[in-house]
Amino acid sequence: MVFFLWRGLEKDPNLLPSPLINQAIPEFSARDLLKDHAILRKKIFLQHWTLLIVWSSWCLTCTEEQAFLLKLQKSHFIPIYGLNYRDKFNLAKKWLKKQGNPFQKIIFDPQGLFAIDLGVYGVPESYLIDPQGIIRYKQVGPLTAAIWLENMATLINQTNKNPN
Amino acid sequence: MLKYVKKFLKNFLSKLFLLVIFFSPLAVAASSDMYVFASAQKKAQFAEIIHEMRCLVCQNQNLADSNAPLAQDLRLVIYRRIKNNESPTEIKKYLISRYGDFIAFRPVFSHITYCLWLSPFILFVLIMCILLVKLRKFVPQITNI
Amino acid sequence: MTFSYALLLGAFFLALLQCGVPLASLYSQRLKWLKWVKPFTWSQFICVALAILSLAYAFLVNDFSFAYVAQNSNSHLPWFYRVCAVWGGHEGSILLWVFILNLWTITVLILEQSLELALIARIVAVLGFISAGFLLFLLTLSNPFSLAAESVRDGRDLNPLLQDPGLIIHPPLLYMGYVGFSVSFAFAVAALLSGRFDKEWAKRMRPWTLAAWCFLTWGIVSGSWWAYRVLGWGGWWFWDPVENASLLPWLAGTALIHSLLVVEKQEILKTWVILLAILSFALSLIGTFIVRSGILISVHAFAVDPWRGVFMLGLLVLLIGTALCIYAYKIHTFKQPLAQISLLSRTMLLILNNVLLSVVIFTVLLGTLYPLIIEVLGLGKLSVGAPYFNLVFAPFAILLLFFMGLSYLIPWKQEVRGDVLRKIVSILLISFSLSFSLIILFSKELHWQVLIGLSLALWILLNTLQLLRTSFKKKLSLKKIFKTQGAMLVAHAGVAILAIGIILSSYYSLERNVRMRVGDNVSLGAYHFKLQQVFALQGPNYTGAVANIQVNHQSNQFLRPQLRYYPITDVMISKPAIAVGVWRDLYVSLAEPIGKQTWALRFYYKPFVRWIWIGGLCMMLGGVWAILSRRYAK
Repeated sequence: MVFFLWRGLEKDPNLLPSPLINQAIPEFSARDLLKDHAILRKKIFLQHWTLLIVWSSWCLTCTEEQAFLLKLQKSHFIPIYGLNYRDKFNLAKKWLKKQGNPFQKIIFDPQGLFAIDLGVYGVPESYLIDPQGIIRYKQVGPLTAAIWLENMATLINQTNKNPN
Repeated sequence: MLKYVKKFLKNFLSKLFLLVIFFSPLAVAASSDMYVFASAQKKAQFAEIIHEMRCLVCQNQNLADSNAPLAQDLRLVIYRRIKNNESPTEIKKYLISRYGDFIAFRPVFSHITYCLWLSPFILFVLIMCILLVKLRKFVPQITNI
Repeated sequence: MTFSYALLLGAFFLALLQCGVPLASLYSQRLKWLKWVKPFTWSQFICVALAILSLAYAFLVNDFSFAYVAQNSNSHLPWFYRVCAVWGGHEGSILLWVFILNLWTITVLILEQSLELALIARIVAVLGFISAGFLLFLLTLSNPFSLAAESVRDGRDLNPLLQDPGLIIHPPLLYMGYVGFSVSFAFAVAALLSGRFDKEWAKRMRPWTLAAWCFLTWGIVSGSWWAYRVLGWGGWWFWDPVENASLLPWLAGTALIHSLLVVEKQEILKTWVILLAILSFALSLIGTFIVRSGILISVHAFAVDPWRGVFMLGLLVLLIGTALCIYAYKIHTFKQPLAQISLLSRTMLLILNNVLLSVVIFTVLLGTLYPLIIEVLGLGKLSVGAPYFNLVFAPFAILLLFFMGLSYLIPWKQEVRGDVLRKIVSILLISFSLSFSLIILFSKELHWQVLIGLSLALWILLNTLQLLRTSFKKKLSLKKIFKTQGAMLVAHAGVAILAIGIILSSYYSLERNVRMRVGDNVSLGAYHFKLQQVFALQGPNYTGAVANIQVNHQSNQFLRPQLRYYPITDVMISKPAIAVGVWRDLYVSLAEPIGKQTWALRFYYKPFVRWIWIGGLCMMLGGVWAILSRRYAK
């Protein structure tokens, strides 16, 4: 028993592994924050790798990952989409103006329903989605360059080498 | 004693008064329930699910007790699904498919949890057997305990 | 290096001496050294007492140069909460632990004057060893006197949930209990070391164990009551890991008290008693470890630091490991008369009681640690919560209640005869029919769980009456009954009351979750509530809103739930309003406003919920009674 307690010390009790890894992203329908008339559906995730960032204007930690995301966007390595969680339209737009906008498309989810479908339980969170629309990796907490390189970028490279 | 009688009468009369008021056109404004159900059974099902699911933000509360935004959202999702005639099993399965086993306070009875669910009973039976075997050695004597 | 830190350092060395000198003197036969036992023990106590007093003083005068004070207090905090903040955080709570340990040690020294010095020396040595371990922890990883890195004008304030009278009593009571089991542990190890464990020793050990058990009972009851009053949703037990951590030593302690009785009567089960004493203390330590290491999520969690967890784990292994080694080495020296236990005797029932309690302890421990085990094994992450514990605990609880009542019909030194069997069946039938009629009379719903639970509680109460009747028939005076059996009757009656409270409040509670505007009404069962007004609220360190709710149209009966915002810690809490009653509680809590004029409110009707704490207190009173009746018997 002491062994288990010992090993338990290394674990973070607040982190939750996602059961949606290697599952398809669910179907949805939502407004695009950037283009008001556009309706976004699941197919925007197909045919290319995507990085989906869950954020809100009221989330203080989300500002931490902005610098990295803007850099990533400039490198044009991967399209970055946003999921605006439980937010007000105007406040979200204001936040983007102030912090910069690394997102090509933003799913507007004021009631958090699509987020629940993805198993989101806090902000910020990030998802790596492959060209078939399968969720390959989930990061809870702000995304940093180190986490991106170690987990997500390597996953992309590995998959590109062995398409199976 | 008299005080109690007086109190009882007062209570009774006020209840009678209330009954009259309720049926009279002068009924005062009522509040609205947060969650309205078609039947008592659905209400019970809702209560059962929200008490068995964990709030993932305030992680030591269940969805019934927590006031966190995520808990409010999840209650709404569960409420809508109940209204849609989904069964509690289906709803729980949905939540677990999105958030993992962690969200369920009642551990699913799977091969991982056989040990958990069965060991108390197995242990009890085991100890009782050992006890009975040991005590067979001791014949009850007239010099009793 | 502050003066207080120096005090702790001194205490540490004194503790080592308190442990080492008696043992050295006994094993080298230099018995003259034994006279140093008392001075060392007293000086250690004084050092620790001064240290904790200095910490309390620092809080009282708002000395924010200490990091611990700055993190847990604020000048706007009322003075009594400032003093209690001493144990509001991790470091201070460990200091409290050590202080209470020394308090128990001194009490043992004072009250056991009649015991041979050699035996006291062993007990005190064990306690000194434990104290040294914890002091080392304080000195290295949990220094309450470390200076703040930067000076702050005002502190961070105490967590608002802790700003409640519950904080004043719950932790100290719990600690008195947890730490009190170290005394039983010391007695047990001393018995092993001296090779002597007879009826006399068991007789001496029992009041100390009872005292620790009483404190722990009171601590758990006060914790449950506190949670109910503060947390806003009428819950009183959550099978939260930290709650389980306090329940485990309590269960072991209960088994220990009952087993000590058997040793006193018959001198059997000695090895079992020693193991139980070690187990109770081990469970106390595990509890302390779980709360402070951050391995499990809990509403109680202190500031997390894995190194603290490592140290505590190490200390646990050291203390328990040493005890078990001594056990293995010395156990063969205990003479046990060949046990003659008739299968249908009270002794047998007590053994069964022990078996049941042990299985429950195992179950609660397994359930609490299972998520951790699964995660460490890499099998995923799951939860084990209230539904599991309630389900698995129920059958064992039923058996325990049944045996409790049964024991009254089978006194010591008597065989079970045919007429006893008849009595059992008849009283059981009466209990069931009585409970059935009560349920049908007062409610529309019949749940079989309520029927069984209520019947068993009545079974215990009826057997109590039956026992009193038999005693009167035998012309025993009331005084004699009180002295010999009063404690048992009161404590077990407490269990019955507790059971009634739990069963009835669990199955017959009503709840409504509503949106209201000022002037709206809501009804719950036979009660009617009207939201009359919502006022703004201003407190010493908070702002918020308070709702004025009229109950049943009576102009003098109001419930005033509050919503409070604490700016310093940026926390919003909902403070429920409770209309307390013996037969039922009415409970209202105010949640955040929806829109401009509408508020979300929760109304609860909770029948018999007070009986839970009344039952718990009865159990504690029974324990106190037992201690007192021993003293008078002596």
